[in-house]
Amino acid sequence: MSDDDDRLDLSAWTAPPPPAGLTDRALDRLDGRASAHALPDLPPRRRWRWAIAGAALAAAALGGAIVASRAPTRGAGAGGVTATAATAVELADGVEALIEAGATITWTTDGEVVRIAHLAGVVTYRQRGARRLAITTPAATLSSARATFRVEAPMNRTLIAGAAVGLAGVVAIIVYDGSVEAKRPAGDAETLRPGGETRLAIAPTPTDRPDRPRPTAVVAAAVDRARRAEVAQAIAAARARPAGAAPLGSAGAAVVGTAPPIDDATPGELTKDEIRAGVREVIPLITECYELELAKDPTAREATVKARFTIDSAADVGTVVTVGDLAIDGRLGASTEFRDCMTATLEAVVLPPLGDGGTIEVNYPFVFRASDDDEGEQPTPAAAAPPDAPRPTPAGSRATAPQKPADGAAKPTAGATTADLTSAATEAALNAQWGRALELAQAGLAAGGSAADRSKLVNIGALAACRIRRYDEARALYRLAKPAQQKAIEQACLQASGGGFTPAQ
Amino acid sequence: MTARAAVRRPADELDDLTLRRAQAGDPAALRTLVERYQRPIWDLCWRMAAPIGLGDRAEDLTQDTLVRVCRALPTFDPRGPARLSTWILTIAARLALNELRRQRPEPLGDEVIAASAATPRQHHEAREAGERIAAAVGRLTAEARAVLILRDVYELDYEAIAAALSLELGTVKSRLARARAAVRATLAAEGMTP
Repeated sequence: MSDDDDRLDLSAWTAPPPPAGLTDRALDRLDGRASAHALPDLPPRRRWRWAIAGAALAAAALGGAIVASRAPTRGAGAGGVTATAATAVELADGVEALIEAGATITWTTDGEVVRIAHLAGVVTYRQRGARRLAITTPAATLSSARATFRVEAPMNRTLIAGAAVGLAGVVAIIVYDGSVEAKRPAGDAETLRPGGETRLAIAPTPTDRPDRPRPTAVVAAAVDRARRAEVAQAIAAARARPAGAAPLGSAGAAVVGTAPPIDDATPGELTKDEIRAGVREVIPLITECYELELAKDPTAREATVKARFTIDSAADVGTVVTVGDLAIDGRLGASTEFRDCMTATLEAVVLPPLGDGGTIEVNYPFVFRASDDDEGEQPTPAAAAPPDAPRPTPAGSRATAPQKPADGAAKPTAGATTADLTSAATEAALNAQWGRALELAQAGLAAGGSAADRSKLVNIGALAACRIRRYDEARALYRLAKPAQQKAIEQACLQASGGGFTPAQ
Repeated sequence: MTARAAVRRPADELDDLTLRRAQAGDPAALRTLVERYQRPIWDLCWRMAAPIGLGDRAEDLTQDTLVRVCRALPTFDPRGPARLSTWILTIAARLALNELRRQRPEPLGDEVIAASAATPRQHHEAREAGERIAAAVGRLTAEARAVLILRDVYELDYEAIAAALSLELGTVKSRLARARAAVRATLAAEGMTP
């Protein structure tokens, strides 16, 4: 018998797909970038070499940022993250999550159980200790112990900023190690082993509409009230301390953090741009607030919301946003749910701490307008106008910034760099300005630029073209994408276009 | 077993120009190389690690391999006897073997096989077959597992396997034969026709 005849047929033994972002992580290590950003070592096994702060900072530099994020703290009891760049978070001791761009999760720790609401996007979970995971997804409830697995849920929003994947009505679970039990609402369950993969359809709810977010996603993603209360209490405690007393965190007390620093700039002032950047990060969530109302009341086509909120901060402690007043005109004004959703979302805005502490009061108007041409297109908080250059004032004092009208969308400018155009295209897409996003993406691609920028522009441009049904342009951009990217674009475009997009003409 | 394995072959080789640029350290070419070969490396690492309950190590092993490949790339001779994919897979196999040798093998037990019988019908057969193969392969030593995977999944020739694992040619053949026999026996005991 020849060797070929004796060969074993191992074809049924398939490996799961590699985790998303593996190429980037390997190249980061090659460049020596990852070592500075990796998770601290957790015995007994080696760490995941996932860039944490590096990813966040890179995203910020590219115009993306962590959305509504809470700085990961080892063993933190609860939190919530929506990311526009891959982010590694230690949810509790021995429980890690790699949260891909666009994904949203919230979590709480209940004894030895970490309860997670996996609301959207792709997250890989890894358990190394005795803690169990109980994960609620749109399609099933998962429970696991000492497992490594990936969960892919549909995106609430869109394929923006590179790595996000949009899956229509399906939650995929892929197990790399250990076992995961998936229990559907109907009660049937299956247990997945290493290499196992399943795709579970999401049962529609009466309020579901295609491409519409679920109410729980909005509220749960936006709010982490327990943590927010911690920060507020810490600020109050810091102010009550006598001069010269040690700051919180230096004498064994927990530092209740807020956002990771955006850059290395000297803290101490909060600029208009910083406030605007913080608010922009929650624009997708604010959009969802409006979409939910629009789903209930299609006549609420246009509205203006004048938000007044206070930014309260203490040195070395954190920053809390408190909504003081929401002046909502039109039909939206009668909706308690919309008001609550807006309040919760704005209070989830993450801002860097003020170096010297203090209070700022800000007026910030939003204009909402439903799209006229495409039912599937996102309604727009048409403009989140910037506040008028507030400056920190001594604790307890107030300074009211005058309100500015909504600013219009600027045209691409000659001489803009690819990075500028990428940032502008991202912003336009986040604001559902699809035509502008496409125009900026095409301009950016014509300008050359880095591979990372070009990849991002291809994603944004293709999705934008699908949104406004310019399929020829979508296909042209699709052809520029890498194979893995093409798959993501195809899925997102199919979802966005209701099946109108096909990669080949 | 006479059926030929439906092999996930390594990706087509990188073209010479890209390879030369990668060897010179060109970032774009290195990215192309990493993207081209990460899947077969991942598959190999996962198959080596998962059967003994270390599937979560597959990413670390894949990253380690890719970093090592990129750093050693200038030493690869395109005119030499080994294809680039073979050279890369041997690095992956050697690295995985060295790493997993340090781990205490934890072969999957009968409870895993019993539990798999409860999976939904639509996934039952394919998943069960894969799990049973994984369990059977997991009972092998790391070295025997490497020989079996490199030969029966990636179709490397004996010489390449011997070089990758620092074994004599005869040793490769004997270990392969014993590995195949052991897997067949395990699968047959489970009622699976090998």
